[in-house]
Amino acid sequence: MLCTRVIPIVLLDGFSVLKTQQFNVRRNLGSPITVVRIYNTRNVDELIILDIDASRQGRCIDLWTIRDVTEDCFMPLTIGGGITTIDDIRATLLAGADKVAINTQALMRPHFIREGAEQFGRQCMVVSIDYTLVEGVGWVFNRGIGQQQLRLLDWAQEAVAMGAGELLINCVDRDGMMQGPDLTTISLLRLHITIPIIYAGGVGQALDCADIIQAGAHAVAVSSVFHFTSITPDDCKAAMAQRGILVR
Amino acid sequence: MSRIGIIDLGIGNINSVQKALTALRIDSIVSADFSVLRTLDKLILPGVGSFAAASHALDVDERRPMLTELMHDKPLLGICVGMQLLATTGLEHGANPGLGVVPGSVDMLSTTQPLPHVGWNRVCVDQSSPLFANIPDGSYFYFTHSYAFTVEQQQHRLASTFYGVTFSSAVVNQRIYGVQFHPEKSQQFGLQLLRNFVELG
Repeated sequence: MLCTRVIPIVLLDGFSVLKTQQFNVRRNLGSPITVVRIYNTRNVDELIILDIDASRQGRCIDLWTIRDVTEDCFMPLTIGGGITTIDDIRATLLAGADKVAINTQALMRPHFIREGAEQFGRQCMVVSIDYTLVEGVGWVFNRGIGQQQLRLLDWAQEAVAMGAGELLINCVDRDGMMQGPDLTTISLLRLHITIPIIYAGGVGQALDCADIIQAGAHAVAVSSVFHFTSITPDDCKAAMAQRGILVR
Repeated sequence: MSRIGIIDLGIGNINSVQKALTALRIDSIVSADFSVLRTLDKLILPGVGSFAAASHALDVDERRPMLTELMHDKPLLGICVGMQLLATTGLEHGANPGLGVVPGSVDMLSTTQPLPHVGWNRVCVDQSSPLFANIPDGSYFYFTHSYAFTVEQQQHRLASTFYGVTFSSAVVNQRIYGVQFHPEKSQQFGLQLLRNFVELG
């Protein structure tokens, strides 16, 4: 049976790895090549690399960087950042990605999800959605174009209808805080969404990963605790296995 | 050492496959030119995307008959959609013809589990094969797909995987092989499988 994935997220500002807190405070963490190499030696299930400044700066994630970091990387990769055209997707896949993460362009032109799915298969299209909580309800947020008057659940359902293969859901309020995930939203989404949900935001200890899966997510994406603490992806999996979750 | 050709139909993550071979110190040539592919010993057919798009890619420049001709005397490994293309028919975005070298069809997985099937799952070998030499039965490989191969004859089923339903995760017909998973992304045992293909007698 399918194993539940623990997926490190690596954020880039175009050149360096960084980590944000609630999408604001930034810490620079050096070269992406070094960071990815470490994950590669740890045999992680999958890796997500997002250039969080690309859309706002009107460019696509730098594919030379992607080629460099994938040089000796034999694990599944999802790449995102400023992907706006079918040609961008094709170039990103050729640079070594298996899937692309689409955020801003999907919001601006939802039909782009369908076009990508028709060309590359829906398994290739990860729709990335950032959200903030207002009185417990998730609303879509975007780093480039700001707060949207769009409910998270409505947008998630539209993205699925358009042909998304997976959803990457990132809770801005929990981002980088390491104080626990937003389990309520995960459970709500799981009731309405039929494709795999990858949740990110707030993991502070290994057991949080088990909570995220038991709340209904299909995979958990983690950044801060891998950068700033001694917790490893294997620690997360050990905690999940203790709760009876199948991991590799 | 076999000379390996990676067939570039414009539908695959060609570079990932070549990079994996390079890591194994195996030289390979990426080409869409059949006069080049004809001079090589073994072929790999990678593919990402929909069966329909891949089938249409075969209709360009007489690729279909040329590929069929190459498969008469060269071992071939199809990966993901490249594996699915070995079937007679694919049903993603309408019915489209495959290469028909492994009798069967490709249809959406009929499972209650969420689709696509993404992640690491066990591959259980149904018949002993040099392709799985030195790979423990039930090893994990990386999958990302919603459609799967149904063989017409059990003899063509090389390995199976369970995802709410059991499907063919590897197929074989003589020296033509196909794997639904991505060996180039499956770390240690993925690389071993590629090595096994290259070393096939």
